[in-house]
Amino acid sequence: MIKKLLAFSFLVFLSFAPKAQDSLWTLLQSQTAGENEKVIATFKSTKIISAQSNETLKKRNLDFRVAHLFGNMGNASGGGVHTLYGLDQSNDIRIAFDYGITDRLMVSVGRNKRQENLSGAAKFRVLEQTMDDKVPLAITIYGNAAFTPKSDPENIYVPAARRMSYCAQAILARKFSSRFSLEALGSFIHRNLVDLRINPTDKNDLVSLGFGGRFKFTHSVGVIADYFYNFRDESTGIKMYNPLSAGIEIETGGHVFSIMFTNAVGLLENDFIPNTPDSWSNGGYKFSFNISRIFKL
Amino acid sequence: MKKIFLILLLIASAYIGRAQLYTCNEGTVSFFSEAPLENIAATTDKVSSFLNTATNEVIFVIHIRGFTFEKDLMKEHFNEKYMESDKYPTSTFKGKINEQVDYTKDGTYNVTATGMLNLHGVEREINAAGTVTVDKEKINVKSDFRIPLKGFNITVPKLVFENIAEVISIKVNTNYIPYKKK
Repeated sequence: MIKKLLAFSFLVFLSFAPKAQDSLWTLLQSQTAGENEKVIATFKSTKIISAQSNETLKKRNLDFRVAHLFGNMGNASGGGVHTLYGLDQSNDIRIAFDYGITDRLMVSVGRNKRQENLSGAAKFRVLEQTMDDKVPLAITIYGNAAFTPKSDPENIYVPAARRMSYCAQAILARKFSSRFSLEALGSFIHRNLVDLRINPTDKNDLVSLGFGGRFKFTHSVGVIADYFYNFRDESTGIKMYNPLSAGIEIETGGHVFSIMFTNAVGLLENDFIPNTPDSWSNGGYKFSFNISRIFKL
Repeated sequence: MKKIFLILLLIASAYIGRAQLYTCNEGTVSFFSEAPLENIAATTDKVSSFLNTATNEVIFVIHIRGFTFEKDLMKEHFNEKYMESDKYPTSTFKGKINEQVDYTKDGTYNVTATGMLNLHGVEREINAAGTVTVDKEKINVKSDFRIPLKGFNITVPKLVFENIAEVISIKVNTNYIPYKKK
């Protein structure tokens, strides 16, 4: 009987003996097993330079954005010291409001200097990359419509539907590491009116394949670039080039300062993807900067 | 003999009645950075913790991504630039309450805890002061302590230096209930 009792009390003691911390640890680890975290900040902003990034604004964030594209810097394209390397001129100015309706859906309205384009756009994150790579890519779709209210003494814009142009994009992006992100964009542009006096073989529809990327040197400083290759016949009329942009971005707390150069002449997809008559090799690169302020509503 | 057996049984049941392993059912961890240009505060309620009342051991795991901020951009910078939460997704604390606490008696006890804090991949010993409040089967732990960013290899770029304090205040407030195996 005593033996039994001893055995019993020993058992009791064993079952209530303080557990080693390591088992507490394993218990805790099992409770906090990883969730499918989404990859954040593939790019710092909703645009890389000329190209849309896969990023959208977060819910209830309003971004007031003023983008400025100066004149050509190189002598051969009308730049040089007498225009202070293009700073005396402005090719395009865009004033826009972007707003995040949800964390995945963003809308924007804006006005451009070029063509006096008034535009509305929507951008939606279809798929977000996850940390565990079950979803290896982010997919975002973007669409806009622009209306040019230019005065029309020659009745070119009759009927008024000719004033419209559209752009649809699918953006595939991947953040390979905290330093390196890459994206590919497929663009389809439709302009209701193309000026055949400029390019007799121009078509209303244009397909373009774009690439964009970022490489960060430090947590705050990186290089960014994007490029659009246009699938079209460029044998006649005024030669149009593929827009190539490159820049440096420096993040300082609330702001991202970007120093950007591009041969594009406009800031709206519908305009700069089809119409870029300037080339890098001919001094047709321009300085560009953005002012962006995000308000949480 | 039977009497002894009964007494033992009573002791055993008393033992069972008082759990010794407690799990955090609700709690918050928040931090505060006070700087000339901008105060930054963030809180998370995604706190996992256990308290062993027999050994006074306490452990925490916190998901860095779980912290919510006033501005979404702050959260992005916090994760991307400072905490590198893709590399170091969690912060952990394994420690011990230094004072003896009578967990069978309701009341508030002033305590200190010592242990290893793992943050941003760096493990350092820290001391934290706080209180343990026992209310029947529930235990509340509150603590306030400060940590230096430099000690955890978190560097603030010169340009934003004014925006972020070098020493961050951390507040912990967790409630514990007896742990039941599922």
